[in-house]
Amino acid sequence: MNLGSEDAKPDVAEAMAGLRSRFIDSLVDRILHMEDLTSELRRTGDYTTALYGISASAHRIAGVAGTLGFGALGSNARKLEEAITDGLAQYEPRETFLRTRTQLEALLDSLEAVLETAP
Amino acid sequence: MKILAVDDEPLFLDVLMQLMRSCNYHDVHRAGSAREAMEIIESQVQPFDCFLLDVQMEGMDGIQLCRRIRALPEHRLTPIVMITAMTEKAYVDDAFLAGANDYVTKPLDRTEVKVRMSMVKSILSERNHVKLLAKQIARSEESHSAARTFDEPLILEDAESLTPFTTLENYLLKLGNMRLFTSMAVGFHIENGGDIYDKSSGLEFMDIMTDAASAIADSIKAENYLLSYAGSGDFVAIIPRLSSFSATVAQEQIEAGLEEFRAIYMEDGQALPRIRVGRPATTGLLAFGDPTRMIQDAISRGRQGIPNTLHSSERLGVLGA
Repeated sequence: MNLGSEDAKPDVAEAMAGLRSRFIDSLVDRILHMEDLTSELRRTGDYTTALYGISASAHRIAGVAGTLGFGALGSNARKLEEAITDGLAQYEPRETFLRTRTQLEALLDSLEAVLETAP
Repeated sequence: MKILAVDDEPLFLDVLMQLMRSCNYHDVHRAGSAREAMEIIESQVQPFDCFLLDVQMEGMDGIQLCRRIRALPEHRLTPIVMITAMTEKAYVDDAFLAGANDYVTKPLDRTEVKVRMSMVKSILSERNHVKLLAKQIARSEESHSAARTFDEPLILEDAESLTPFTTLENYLLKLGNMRLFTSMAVGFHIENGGDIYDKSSGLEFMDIMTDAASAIADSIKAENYLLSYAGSGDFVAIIPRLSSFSATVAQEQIEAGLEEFRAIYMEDGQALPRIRVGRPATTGLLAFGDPTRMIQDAISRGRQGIPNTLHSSERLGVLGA
């Protein structure tokens, strides 16, 4: 987030650092949630429910990540969300899943990259 | 300022609230869903002054929530700012049509948030001005001239089809040139607005402008449009360019609509508003100037009315800028 010079105040910077830490702490659960959705999909064949779940998860990551300064992660999450939305408008759910797997992998990689570089 | 922020991502709400605090907005409440938001809104003794709504939420989304809030009498004029990703601009039209005043994009940028909140303050100031005016009118029907000048934009509380003028400007500024190209602006000018203002009390003037707004709204044959009062007897509508709007037909319908009020106006000793409809103002696809110029063009054209010498196809069709 562009905090501007006024936000150099220690209390604001400290609060934002705390939120960044909480976001990083939440990433494991977010990764597991998306992996659960894909496992469930393979088990039940319910592509629609899984895609909506993954898209919602990506949407939430996109909203927070960019604002907290994780630009690349936010961008990958947004790309996946868009790809799913566009895909479902044009293709069957299964076809959409196959077409968006690359973006899903890219997002999972980004999530893991943030975790690996976290202090 | 008492604010309600609504988002279904708890961490985003934390970030938003921290950001608002850093901008000196400390009375910020939160809701994790549209349903929870409605419960909180309805339980308040002191209503909220502003709403920040995420567009995309599970269950009832932000646009539906915006519509529900607008349906509450105490929040007909409360500023609503939508929070959306850049890629969700397709939702922006729906948000404005549901009654939103503005939107801010994710990722959040503190400078942008500050600018948007300045707009909120200006709407609140306008709304408070109207309330003050109403109180003054209640005390003395003569007081309006000192409270407000003829050339100021006006929020007409009883005109349901009207949106604040600042919202209309925001809408055009956000559309972008490509989508601006798909809209046109039409000016409606009350020829005898100055006379009506001089000869009527504040309450009477607002009632007459509300009647005029209603007649104008009825003449716009488009599903999606925004209409505002810009002051000085000028109304401006933003209408989809592909709609079947005709200035000539609108002019006739407005006259017929107002004619129904003639007897009442005569009884009250008031002049019926005479409204001119301007030719639609549009912008070129590659025009990169100030989008709000289209509004000024529409106002100028409204003041001119439809020239009698205009070719019939021009009178009926959409014209270039």
